[in-house]
Amino acid sequence: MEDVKIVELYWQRDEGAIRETDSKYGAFCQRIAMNILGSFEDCEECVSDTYGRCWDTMPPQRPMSLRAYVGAIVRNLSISRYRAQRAQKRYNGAEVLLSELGDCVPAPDSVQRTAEVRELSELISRWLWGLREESRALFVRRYWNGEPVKSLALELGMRPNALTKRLLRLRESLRDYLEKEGVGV
Amino acid sequence: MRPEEKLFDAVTGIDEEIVDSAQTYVFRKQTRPWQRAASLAACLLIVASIGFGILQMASIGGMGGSDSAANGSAADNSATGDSAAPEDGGLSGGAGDQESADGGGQESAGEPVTFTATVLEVGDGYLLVEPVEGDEMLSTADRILVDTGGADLPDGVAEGAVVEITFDGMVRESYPAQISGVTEILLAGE
Repeated sequence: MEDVKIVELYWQRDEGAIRETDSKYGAFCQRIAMNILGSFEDCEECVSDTYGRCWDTMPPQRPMSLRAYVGAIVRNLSISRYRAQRAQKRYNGAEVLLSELGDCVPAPDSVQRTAEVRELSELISRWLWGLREESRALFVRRYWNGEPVKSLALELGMRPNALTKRLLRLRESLRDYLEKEGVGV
Repeated sequence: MRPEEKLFDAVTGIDEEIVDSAQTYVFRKQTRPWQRAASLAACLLIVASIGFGILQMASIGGMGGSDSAANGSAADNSATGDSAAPEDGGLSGGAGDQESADGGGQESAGEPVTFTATVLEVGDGYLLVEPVEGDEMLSTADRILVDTGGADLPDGVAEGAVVEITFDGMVRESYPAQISGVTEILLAGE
């Protein structure tokens, strides 16, 4: 089913929308969650929560690309879960110290933080648009989808080491661009 | 929030169009110079073999039509000696091809398949595994969810363990890929 029709189902509050989303983008979402969390159980929960989030946000949202939309949701949920798990474990001494000292630093309010992240997203997008299509796809598949270097190297017909160097050059290029734009991450 | 975390979050918010086009982008495989040279050599070999075969056919045909005794004996030798070689080669190549085709067919026909993998997660009734480097299954999927319903798990199967899994050969193309019909799970090296 086309994305537009699936989105329409959400707007009509038709539960078939979730079935269609799962059938079309379920594997895509699972892959993203797995790449971030590495656990099937956590990944299943994140994907299931993603559908719930889609249900809650459409309407009012009417995404142009449903794939990018569900992908961003599952990525956000997976990152949040990863952070929660890491905070829970507290296995690392430095982690505890950092967290305790973090309490002393006045935290920027969430609106300011959101604005900063959004501004950074726009800059990264602009930088990506300036790249060749292949480099752009490579950056997204590695850092947005979280695909392992090994599988990307296989797809590109490169050795993993060579791909690691290429990714390093891409990251350096992004750093230079952000510095030029006067953004301190 | 750490700088890399901020960047991680920011990457999530990049243009939808960029994300969407990256998902469908097909990377062009990069061929290394030695691969190009090997392909060229293989092509030349094929062309030379075909040319040699045509010459042989022509010489056999020529022998049949010739009354010359000298010509006949020379061609006779080449016919019995040289022409036998490509024939044998053709047969064994054909048998080889047939064998490999059969081998491929067995897998797709659901004959038992065994592969070696590292356990990433042990769950209730399932294992999440990653085929080890060099195992053919790695070209099928990098993550496989194994339904352990019908198989006994040996002691020592835990995260990080390397196991040999035998199943009915059917792989469900999802992510992670899924297999059922598991008949045996052994710790590798047992």
